Amino acid sequence: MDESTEDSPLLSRLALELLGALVVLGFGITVAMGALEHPVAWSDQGPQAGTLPFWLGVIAILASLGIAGQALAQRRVLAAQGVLGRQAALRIGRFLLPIVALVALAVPLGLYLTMALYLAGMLLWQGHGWKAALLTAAAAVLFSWFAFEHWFMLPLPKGPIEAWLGLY
Amino acid sequence: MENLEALMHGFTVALTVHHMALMIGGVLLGILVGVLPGLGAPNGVTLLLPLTFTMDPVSAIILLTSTYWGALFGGSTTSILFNIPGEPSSVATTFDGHPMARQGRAAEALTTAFLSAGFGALVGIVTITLLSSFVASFALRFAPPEYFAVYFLAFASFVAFGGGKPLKTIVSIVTGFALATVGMDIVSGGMRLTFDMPELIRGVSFLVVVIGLFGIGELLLTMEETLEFRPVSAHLSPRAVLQAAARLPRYWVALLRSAAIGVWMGITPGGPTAASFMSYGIARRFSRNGARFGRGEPEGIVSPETADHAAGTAAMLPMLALGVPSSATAAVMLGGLMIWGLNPGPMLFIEQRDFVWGMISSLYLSNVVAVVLVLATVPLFAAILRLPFTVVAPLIVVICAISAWSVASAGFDLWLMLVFGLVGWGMKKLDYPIAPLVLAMVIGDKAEDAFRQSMIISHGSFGIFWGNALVGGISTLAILFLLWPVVTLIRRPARAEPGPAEHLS
Repeated sequence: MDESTEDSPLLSRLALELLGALVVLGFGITVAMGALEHPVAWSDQGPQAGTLPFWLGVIAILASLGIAGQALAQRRVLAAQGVLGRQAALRIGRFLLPIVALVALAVPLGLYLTMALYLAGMLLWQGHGWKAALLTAAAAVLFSWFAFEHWFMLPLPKGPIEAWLGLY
Repeated sequence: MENLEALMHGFTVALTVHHMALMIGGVLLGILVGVLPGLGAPNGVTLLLPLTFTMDPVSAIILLTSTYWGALFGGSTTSILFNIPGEPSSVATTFDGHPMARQGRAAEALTTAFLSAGFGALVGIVTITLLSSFVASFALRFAPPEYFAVYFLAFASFVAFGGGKPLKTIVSIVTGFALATVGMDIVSGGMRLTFDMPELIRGVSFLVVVIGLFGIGELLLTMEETLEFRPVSAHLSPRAVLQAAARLPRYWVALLRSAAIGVWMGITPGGPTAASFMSYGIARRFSRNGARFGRGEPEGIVSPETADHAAGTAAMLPMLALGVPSSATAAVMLGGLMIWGLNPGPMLFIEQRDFVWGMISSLYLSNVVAVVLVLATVPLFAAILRLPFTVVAPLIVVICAISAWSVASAGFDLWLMLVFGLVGWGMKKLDYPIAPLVLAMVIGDKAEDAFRQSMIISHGSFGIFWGNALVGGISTLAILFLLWPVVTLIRRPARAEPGPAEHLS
């Protein structure tokens, strides 16, 4: 990929390929193990409940080994390709961690409060100032409240704030 | 002429104030979704799907298809003005579109793109209109073995022509199938792959997976590259628009060739992204203007745009007639059809005439609406893109979270969305194709049911898949497709891979 020159590589394509193959391998083993809780057999009624998932797991395991083998066969070329630079990884991390917080807090705090905190926090953090942060958060909360609670009738998770305000 | 009559009837269904309003709303939402990097057509359609649960099916499909057209057009707008493809399928449009815009020919580039896209879509719709009842009557002879053979063929052709590495395509398909088996097994009643987690009993929703893969995954990819908006003037004077429109017929060869490529790629599961790249590549090789491609040649816009929209539209035909979607967006719509209580497949054309022909005629109308609206709103949406991405990205995250929640009102789905966001990022990085995964999730259950029903009929013998000429032909073709990578490997002995694949879907 076209990484900028100043960004020192963190992961080579080879490492990421092998990591990907490892994830697929783990997935395949999990699926095959899970399938073994059901009969993996062929009766005159055709395949039993566990048969399809079991073989899917086996195919995933074999494919992961094949992918790892292909990657290792071209390890010189792939090891020289950087796919993720330090700066890029940092940007992804800074973007990803707040999403983890958003997901973790959405149910206990209610999605409205969480989205307000998330939006205001992200905008402040990116240097957009208090006014823009509060305005964006307030607009998003008000719009989604009217859209989802009234218009689409799709209630979003609510928490202590809404209960305290007596809104539901 | 039976089709024409049915089409006229369809227009009476589609042409109501309510439906026209949905079309306009859908197109505008779609353009917004297409313009914003990090939100694509499959994601946009997925985000709207929960809102359609309470609508009648005709209104629902009109809203979703209009959003799809809008998203395809919106993707071209940003490709040309900002060199940022809003959609994977509009990447090829940047090659000549952005150079033209930088030369001050933005109006010409945009008009050329929209009109040739409209032409491609029109060819796609006419093909659907002409072929649908033929395909449906053919498909009426389908029993479980035939259904399974068609599903098998769809997956085999992904392996053969999908453009990814065969092993990675297989991983993608297998993952989708495995996710589809999670939950209650309708034959034995057992709980499969739930690992005693109560959240998994209702299964893994493909909507949540799509929101993660395409929404969060795409945002992570965009975050990784520092986005540099280099906007050019988005002013469209009516005169420039008319001049560009008048020049379009000159490219009739490119228009027809690209439309044919698009329709073919749409009906077989190549999808719009592969279609646009293929069309651009073929045009560059065979056109008289080939040498000027990449430096602002209108034909380099005409070719990918026409094929992109022709493929997107033509993908509706196998979705309706066979229940086999050939693009990720069509797979999401197919899931919608099943949620609305419709059973995609040949019987749809007999039991749900209003729905099928209402939808087909709405495709004519919504494409015209889309071309007009997209020309009218270019300055507006170009202004939205001046908002810094650091504001837009968190808003997209919130939209994704709300949609993932609204699928089943479950907090667990938010975590699933996050996990699949990371998976989507990894898949894009390593060129694992995502569309087969979505396809397998949507039709996995149906394929397994068809297979098990066939096995019950035949008492466990595979001979049933060669029981008559029809099913035997489809099965043989599928096996040939599956062996295709092996054949090419033998013909072209192993050589060093040419780096990361060009395909983005």
